[in-house]
Amino acid sequence: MTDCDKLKENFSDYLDGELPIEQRKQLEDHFNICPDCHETMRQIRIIQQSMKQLPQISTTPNFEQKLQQQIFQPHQKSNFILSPFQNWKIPVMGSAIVLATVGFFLVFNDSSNKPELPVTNPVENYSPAAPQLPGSQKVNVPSSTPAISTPYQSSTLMSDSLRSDSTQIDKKGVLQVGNK
Amino acid sequence: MITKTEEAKKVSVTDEQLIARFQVGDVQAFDILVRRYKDQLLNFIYRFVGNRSDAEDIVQETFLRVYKNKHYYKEIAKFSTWVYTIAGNLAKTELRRRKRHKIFSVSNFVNEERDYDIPDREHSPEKKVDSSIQENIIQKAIGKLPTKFKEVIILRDIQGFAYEEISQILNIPLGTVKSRVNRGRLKLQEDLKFLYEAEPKSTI
Repeated sequence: MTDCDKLKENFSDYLDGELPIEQRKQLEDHFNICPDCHETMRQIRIIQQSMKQLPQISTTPNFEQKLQQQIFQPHQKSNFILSPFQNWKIPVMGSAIVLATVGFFLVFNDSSNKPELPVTNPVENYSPAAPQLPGSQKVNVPSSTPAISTPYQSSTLMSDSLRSDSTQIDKKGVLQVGNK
Repeated sequence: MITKTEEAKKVSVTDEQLIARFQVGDVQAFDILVRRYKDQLLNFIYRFVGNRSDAEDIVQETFLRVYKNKHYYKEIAKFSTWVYTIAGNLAKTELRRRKRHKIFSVSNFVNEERDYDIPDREHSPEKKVDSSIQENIIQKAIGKLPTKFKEVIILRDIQGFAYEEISQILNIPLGTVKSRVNRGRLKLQEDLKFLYEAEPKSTI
C-alpha cells in the first residue's frame, strides 16, 4: 500500500473535522507535495457540496389518501409487494412441473421397453459379451421409486411458491430495531 | 397568535412521544408522523432506487408497516432510526428484486447501455454542465455504487445523519460506517472526476 492509499483512509475524517491534530497536519503536509491527493480531496469536497444541494422532491398530493386506503383495505396488496416474486416463481414452478412430467415419462418408457430378464438365470446380467448401455443401469431401480419421487418434488416446489411468506418481505428490520 | 402557539406545541412534541401516543390508539399522532417523515423518506428512497414512483410505493409500504407493527417499536431507539431501518430494508429488497429481474430480462440488459449516458469526458468541463444534467449524472453515479456504500453515502452526505445514527439504522459497527463512507466518497470521486477536473495548468 502506497503512502497515498494509506492516507486516503483518513480523507473522510479530515473532511468531517474528526481527524486528530497531528494526523491532520501530516495529511496537509502530504497535500503540499502530492497534487493527486490534493486534487482528489478538492473534488470530494465539491461532490459532497453538490450532493447536499441536490433538489428535494415531495410526495404526490394524494399520498396520505392512498396510505389511508392501504391501511383500511388490507386485501389490496401494494404493487411493491406483489410484483417481486411474480417474475420468477411462476416460470420456475412451470419448468419444475414440465421437468417432472418429462422425467416421469422417460423413466416409465425406459423401464417398459427394456427386455425381460430371466429371473432364473441372473448370471446373464453380468455377461461381458453384452455391454450395457448407460440407461440400462436403471433396470435395477425399483419401478416404484421414480413414480413416487417425481410428483413429490413438483409438489414441494408448488407448495413452496404458494407459501404465504413467499410474497412477504423479511420483517427482520422491523423486529431488530424494535428489540434493541 | 393562537395558531402560532399551537404550531409551536405541535413541533415541540417529539417523534417518540407521538409514536407512544399512537401505540395507545391515537391515530392523529400517526398522521403527524407521516407528515413529518414522508418527504425526507421519499428523498432517501428516491436516491437509493433512482425511481420516483417506486420510491413513493416504498414510502407507502414503510408507513403501512409502521401502522401495523407499532408495538414492535421500543423507546430505546429513536423513531427516526426505526422508520429509516424499515424504509432502507424495503429499498434493498427492491434493489435485489431488480437485480433478479435483470438476470432474466433480455430487454433490460439491452436498455442498460443506452440508459447510461455519461457525456463525453473531453466535451464536458465543469462550468458548462447544466445543473439538471449534473444532478442526473450524480444520481447515476450514486446508483452505480454497491449497496453497502450507497446507503451510507445517502444517509451521511445527502440526508446529513450522524455516524452513530447511521450505525444504528443499518445495524453495523460505527467503524464500518466510517470506512464505508470514506470508500464510497472515493468511489464517487473516481466516477465523477471528469465533471470536476481542474483546468490544466499551463506549463511554462
